[in-house]
Amino acid sequence: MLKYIGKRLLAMIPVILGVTLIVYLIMSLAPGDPARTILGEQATEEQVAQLRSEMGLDQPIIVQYFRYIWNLLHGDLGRSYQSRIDVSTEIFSRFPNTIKLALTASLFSVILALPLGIIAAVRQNTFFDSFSMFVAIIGISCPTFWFGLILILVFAVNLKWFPVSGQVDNFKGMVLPALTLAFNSMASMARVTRSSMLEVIRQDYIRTARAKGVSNRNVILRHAVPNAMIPTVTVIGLRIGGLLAGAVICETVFSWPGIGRLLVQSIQSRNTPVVLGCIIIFSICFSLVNLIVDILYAFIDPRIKSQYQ
Amino acid sequence: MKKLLGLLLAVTMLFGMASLAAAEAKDTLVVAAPDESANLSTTGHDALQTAYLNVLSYNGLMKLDYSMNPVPDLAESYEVSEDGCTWTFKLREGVKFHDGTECTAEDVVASMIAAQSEPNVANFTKDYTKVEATDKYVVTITTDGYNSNLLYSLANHANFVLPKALLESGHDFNAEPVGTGAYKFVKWNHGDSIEFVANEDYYGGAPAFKNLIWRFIPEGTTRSLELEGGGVDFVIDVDAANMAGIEANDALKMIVVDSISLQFLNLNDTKGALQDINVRKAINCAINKQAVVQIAENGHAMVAYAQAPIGFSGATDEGCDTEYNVDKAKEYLAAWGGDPATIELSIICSNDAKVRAAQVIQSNLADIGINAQIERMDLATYLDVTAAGDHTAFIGGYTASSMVQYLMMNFHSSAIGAANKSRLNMPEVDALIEKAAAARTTEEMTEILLQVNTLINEQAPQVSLYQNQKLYASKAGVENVNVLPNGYFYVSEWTWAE
Amino acid sequence: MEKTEFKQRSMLVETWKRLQKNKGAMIGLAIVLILFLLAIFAGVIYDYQEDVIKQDYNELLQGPSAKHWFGTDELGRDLLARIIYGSRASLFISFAAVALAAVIGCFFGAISGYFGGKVDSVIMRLTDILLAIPETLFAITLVAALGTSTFTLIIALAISNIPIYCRLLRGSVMTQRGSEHVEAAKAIGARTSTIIMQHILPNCLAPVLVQFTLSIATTILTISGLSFLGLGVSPPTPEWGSLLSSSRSYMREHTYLTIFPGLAIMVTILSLNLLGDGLRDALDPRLR
Repeated sequence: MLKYIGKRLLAMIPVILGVTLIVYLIMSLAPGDPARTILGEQATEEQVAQLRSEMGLDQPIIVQYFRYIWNLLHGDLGRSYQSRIDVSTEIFSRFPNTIKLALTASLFSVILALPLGIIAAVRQNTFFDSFSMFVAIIGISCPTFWFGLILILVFAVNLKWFPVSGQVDNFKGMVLPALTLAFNSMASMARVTRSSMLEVIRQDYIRTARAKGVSNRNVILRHAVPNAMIPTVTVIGLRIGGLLAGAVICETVFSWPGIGRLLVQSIQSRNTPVVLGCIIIFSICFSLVNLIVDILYAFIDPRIKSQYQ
Repeated sequence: MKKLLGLLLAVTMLFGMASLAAAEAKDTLVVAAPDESANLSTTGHDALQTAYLNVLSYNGLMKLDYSMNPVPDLAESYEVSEDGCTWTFKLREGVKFHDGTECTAEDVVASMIAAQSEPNVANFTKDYTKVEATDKYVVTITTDGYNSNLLYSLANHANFVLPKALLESGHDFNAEPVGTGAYKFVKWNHGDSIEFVANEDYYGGAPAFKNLIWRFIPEGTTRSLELEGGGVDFVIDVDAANMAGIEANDALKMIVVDSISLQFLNLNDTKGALQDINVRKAINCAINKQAVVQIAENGHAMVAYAQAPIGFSGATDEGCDTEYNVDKAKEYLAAWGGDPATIELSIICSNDAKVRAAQVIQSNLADIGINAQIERMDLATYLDVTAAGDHTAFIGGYTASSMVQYLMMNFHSSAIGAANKSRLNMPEVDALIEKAAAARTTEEMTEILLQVNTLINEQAPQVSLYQNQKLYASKAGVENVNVLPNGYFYVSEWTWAE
Repeated sequence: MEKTEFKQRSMLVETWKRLQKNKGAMIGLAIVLILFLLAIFAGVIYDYQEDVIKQDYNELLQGPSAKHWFGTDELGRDLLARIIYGSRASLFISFAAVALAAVIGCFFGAISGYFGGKVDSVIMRLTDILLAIPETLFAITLVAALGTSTFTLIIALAISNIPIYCRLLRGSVMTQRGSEHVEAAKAIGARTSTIIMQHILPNCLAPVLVQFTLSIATTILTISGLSFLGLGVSPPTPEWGSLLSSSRSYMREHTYLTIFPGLAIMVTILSLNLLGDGLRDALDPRLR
């Protein structure tokens, strides 16, 4: 198992390097000169040219790229063109906020999705079932930012229960952004939970348990739910990755001081080191989450574990 | 099922109750600003949003009063020599920096010399050639001939005063401002807010609000809604669409300031058919500026006809032919003789309001047969493309603190490649602008400015659209709020009344 | 040869029969068809110049009424007309992007799955890289960098969708590769391209079709997200995301401007999802 984890972690390195190469190329293809952006409209062409050469922007892209990678391998993400602060400082002052948002959102979606999916499955073909699945499919179909705007209109503007923009340090300020982000993943989790519950309920051992006179409640909670969790865990894992990406838009809607907004701003000001830093962080998180999901599998399902050996 | 509903209800009740709590003494002011500055230096930018923050923590030798006249700030008084080349400033004594050291002539000199090597603020440091400390509290500034613009430049953030000792020790002013201003920097929560605390030793008296939180909320509507919801006390740049709602609310008030910032449709006079004066005049006449104002600013702006902003002495509509008149536009096109469909015009826009304005222009120009495109660009691309002169047109604006400065930046040939983006290059205009800058009396200067403005108006280098109003809003309790026509305001003067 | 064709036709009939039993899928299909017809015949209902882009300063921000069912926008244009025309941009871009992605992805996926070995590992490492960047982020970066136009939108969205199809087809091809009818074709000396095109691909299309429907849905969402960030199509062309985005300033006083385009997006995605789910169930009853 450890060997497997080690192998997966090693395999992440070329992937991350590949990601940096692609993003570096895209950023260097982009029109817009970082030096001009930094110096503003009053600077002369000579001053801009001088700054370009100070920043090493006049060298061939491939040289710039390898210098970046060399520094990256030494743990140096470079400095932001605009604020002249270390990219790592810039990113880690906001990264916890994004993590906070993504985790709260996943918590919300798990708390809402599991009961919804389980009850829907247990009461298959009742009104509750159709209703909750309808809610779920709306959740999947709803543009994140639109849902956010509607929540703001209803709960912040009209009912005044929550602040309009997100606030990192109090729970009330986190509710709306987290709900917005959670809605979509909640929906897909509920659907998967329902369908895997349905599959499990039809299995022989459930019938056996029922025949043995175990109460319905216990059958569901002790026997069916744990076994139905495998696909659900996958979806939870996949959705955390999706949540990180969704955060970009959610953070814009709620003025959330996270890494997603930083990324969008940095792309727009051609702040290549920060863009690369953000995307590297996103990719690492994404890959790590996938790895964790695979490992969790092994713990939940012994059949899968045997494959790793 | 019922249990679930009950739980939901209970949770929502809880939040409802929590929002009823909290009502304390008003010693913290929360300001909502649209853009977060990349850094807080006084010399590394020329952006109003960062200038707001500079004004909180720093002072210059001069400042602008509410009618945009330069008045002494850190200076107590000043004198100009007979030949107009030597300016002597007497400093206030006993003014302390936030770190407790006294502000002296040495600090002023060190700050201004440091500013001179910063490209971002080149326009504000080229008015003086030499700065010296001739006494502990006396600064002598040398200019190249009389230059009325110097006093305005000294009031600009570029020439604000920083402690010399920290400048020399390499203190990071980008991240942590230290000045003489009314508010001391406390903490920067990147992406979210900056916290300030009142400078009790401020020479102008301690400010009424002990704490100041400067929040960054990029969405215009979110800022207004936050004000309405009570999360912030003052909003910078209210979205015009939200204005009616704020005015209807008794707990809030709007602060509307006629700005001297001119919004225009820039035309690159060196590109294709735009080189022809008749084409430029045709475009000028074809645009329904009233509609542009209605759509882009919800009616909150003054239609502009002249090439330079109205509100300064020397401004004039003389020589303009820019009234909305489609027939006249067609006449100009006929005078040009070409096929309007061949005119290439791609309007670059860098934000939503500009896109709205551009859509009106696009449909106006279609009426005279010109097919304009709208190109949405982010700021980085826009700056690059327009500075290089690769554009045909864009919607932009310019704010200056004096007419001479405005003309110098927008129409003087030395600013081609910088802010002169219509790329107007007329030696006659250059000479007159220089002459106006050197004029000793206001009357003389005004006369020259009238002359040069008329000349520029006749050339119609670009299309002036409107002079917008700067829109601010606050809770009704925030009093003594005044805003300068260039957008600056002094939070230290504000008070709170329930 | 004839036999497989017969088998396929019967499979199609079977699928259709099963699909018909799924109420949700049929509703989805109906709505999708209506949307397509609306998009295609938008020009018959409304005149683009007169109704969609012509500004009317006397009719600014009018709420829903008999004259303008969905009200008018900040430039006095009929919102319903703009939403209907907007479906053209949204549907066209997402279809073009997903189709491009499916073709390219399937091509490389098939090669990867059929030949295996080094080719496979190179292609798989490349998809690993693309998959490591969340789809939306990749599209944002590409569009922001290359400028906003319909073309760059299509390219960006296509590239970010390629790895899904590549993976999908690789998996199916690998299972098909060892099957009897492929072995038989190999034995009679059929060319590799013939084997892939005629014996393997037709059997892999079901999951691709399902994924296609679902990708269109997510892509429409991504486009509207990009528009929301100011990276969408350029005005005056209406597009759902940009309609929503420009409604933000007015959402307090003129809520309908936010509600209607949002509903349009939601209904479309909803029906595509219903259809996609139904298709999946119909094509592979075991998954139910």
